[in-house]
Amino acid sequence: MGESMSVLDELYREIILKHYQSPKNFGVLPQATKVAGGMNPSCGDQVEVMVRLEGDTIADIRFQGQGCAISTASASMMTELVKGKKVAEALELSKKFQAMVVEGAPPDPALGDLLALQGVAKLPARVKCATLAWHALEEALR
Amino acid sequence: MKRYPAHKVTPLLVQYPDLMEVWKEAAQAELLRAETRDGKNYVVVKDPSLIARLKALGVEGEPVEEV
Repeated sequence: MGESMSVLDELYREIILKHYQSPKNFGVLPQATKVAGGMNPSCGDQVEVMVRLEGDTIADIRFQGQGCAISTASASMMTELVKGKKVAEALELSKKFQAMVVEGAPPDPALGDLLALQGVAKLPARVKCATLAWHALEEALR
Repeated sequence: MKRYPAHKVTPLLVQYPDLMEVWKEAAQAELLRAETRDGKNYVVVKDPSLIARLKALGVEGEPVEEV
């Protein structure tokens, strides 16, 4: 059991590192219809999320800014997950993700690669890093 | 036409909603584009209104030749 957990932890670390080193949807979205951002002074993270809505669908999304491995990986995985989703679905996923990393709620498989960040719930100082892009997304979708 | 590092522009779009409206108009008229050079993100702006607004906010772009 312990060994399988460490294998899983190693896999999760690799996923986080992959998204940190080569973030998806990182850049500017000229056709954005909404933009929102946030800062996490304790870690020096800053992120802006740019969204192009078509009706109630997230047709495209990018993020821009600078941050630690956790905030960058979280933003990268978030943009991959919500692109093409309805606004209501994206907000529901945001709720599930935040429940997982803030309250330590059981991870929902719908979160895909973001399950790699479930360990953040045990690191209170890093919770804000993980949720930064999600708060910006929620604000952009309001 | 001017090129701006993305990190100098996107925080302003969040801070100034009216700037975002100018941005949207420029994008609709295809007067701005995103660019990545050496792994860094830039915005290339051709719209004089947006260039003027950014300048007023203290952000100067680097002149680029039109191709």
